Amino acid sequence: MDDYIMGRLTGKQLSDFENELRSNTEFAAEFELHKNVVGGIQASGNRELKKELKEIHRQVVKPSAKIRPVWYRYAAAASILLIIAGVWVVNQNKNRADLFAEYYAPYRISLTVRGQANAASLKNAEDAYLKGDYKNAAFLIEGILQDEYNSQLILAAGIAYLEMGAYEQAIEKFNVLIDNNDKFLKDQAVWYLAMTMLKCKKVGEAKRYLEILAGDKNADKHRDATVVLENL
Amino acid sequence: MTTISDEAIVQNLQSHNPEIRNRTFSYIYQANYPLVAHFVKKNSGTEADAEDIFQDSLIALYNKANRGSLVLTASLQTYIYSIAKNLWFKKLRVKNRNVELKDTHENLPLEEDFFESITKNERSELIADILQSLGDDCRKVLRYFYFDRLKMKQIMELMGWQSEQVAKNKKSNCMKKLKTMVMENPGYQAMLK
Repeated sequence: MDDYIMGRLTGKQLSDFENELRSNTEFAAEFELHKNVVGGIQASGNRELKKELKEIHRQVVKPSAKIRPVWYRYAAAASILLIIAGVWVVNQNKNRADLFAEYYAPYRISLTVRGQANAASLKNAEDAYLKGDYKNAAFLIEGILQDEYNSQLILAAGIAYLEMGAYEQAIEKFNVLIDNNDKFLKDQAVWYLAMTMLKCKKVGEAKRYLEILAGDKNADKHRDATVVLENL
Repeated sequence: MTTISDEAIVQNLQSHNPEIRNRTFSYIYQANYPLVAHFVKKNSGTEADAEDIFQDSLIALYNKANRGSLVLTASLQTYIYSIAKNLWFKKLRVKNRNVELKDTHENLPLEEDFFESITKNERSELIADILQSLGDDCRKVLRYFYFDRLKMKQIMELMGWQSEQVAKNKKSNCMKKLKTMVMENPGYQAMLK
């Protein structure tokens, strides 16, 4: 009956089912009840979803526009100056972009573990990430990170943000791993943080992070970091 | 706000992770509510009408997406606008007003089956009431299966059960229980006559 209601019957199965409905009154009555109950579950689901949407409305739709404090204007002026300075720096540092292109590659994640509670969500996130749909990957990963701490996901989110050009968010993610002194991925986080700095043309900061890796023979990315440092 | 492709949004809506669904709705809300609110208010509606219509539009969209029958031939925004326009038109017609809507966005004709899932009827509402007195787990399983249209495996994961068979058994037991409650309900009996 469920398959019929959900429109999953075709061909002979479908015609058999409909014949049975016509000829067997007991079956027809049973089906009528089933259909009505499914309709009730649908109505109840609609109600619950409506409640959830009302809550979202409360969070998302602000009753009035935000009033921006005065410092906002100074901040805006300052950011324009930064952009001008940035353009100047970019012209100075063309070869550093090449360095980024040569050494940067997104970390190859492998998230799906069989039997894990949220395996399907992880799979969606992983697929989006590996496919290079970084916007959706970041979106999906943030959803999962609400529920759990997963260092691979945090690194993946950082890289997704880096790929999207959302550097501030990328830096924030890498710093989470570094602050937590992550057992497996701290070095990777430092490396990608250095790459982010390179991308942002903050060579001084990039060097600082690369030196951490170059100074530790056992660090992941020790060799790459040393070579990039020499070229900076 | 970064933009996510329409395709990804529809896919995310079908995720069985409630957190992802919630974030997706939140995203859709931010990206589309102003458009619909503007339209409803331009056509003699209030802010409260706009909220109501917009939410019902998202529910219709969600149901359609879950049935796997949402094929986007225009932008998601155009779909949402078109559903909202239809719903607002129906609501005004019930109020017996002269209905001539001023469009504020391009729209496309939609088939009636877009609205079936949110059309209210007395019987379904009564059964939805009865459902409230079922246990928590039962309510969830039935919602996941019939409303969210999740697969048994996903339901198993969400409920933290050990096998799909457990989920299947639970679902059919809950359904049996609900049917008995419905059949014994005097209000339902009266409707059958």
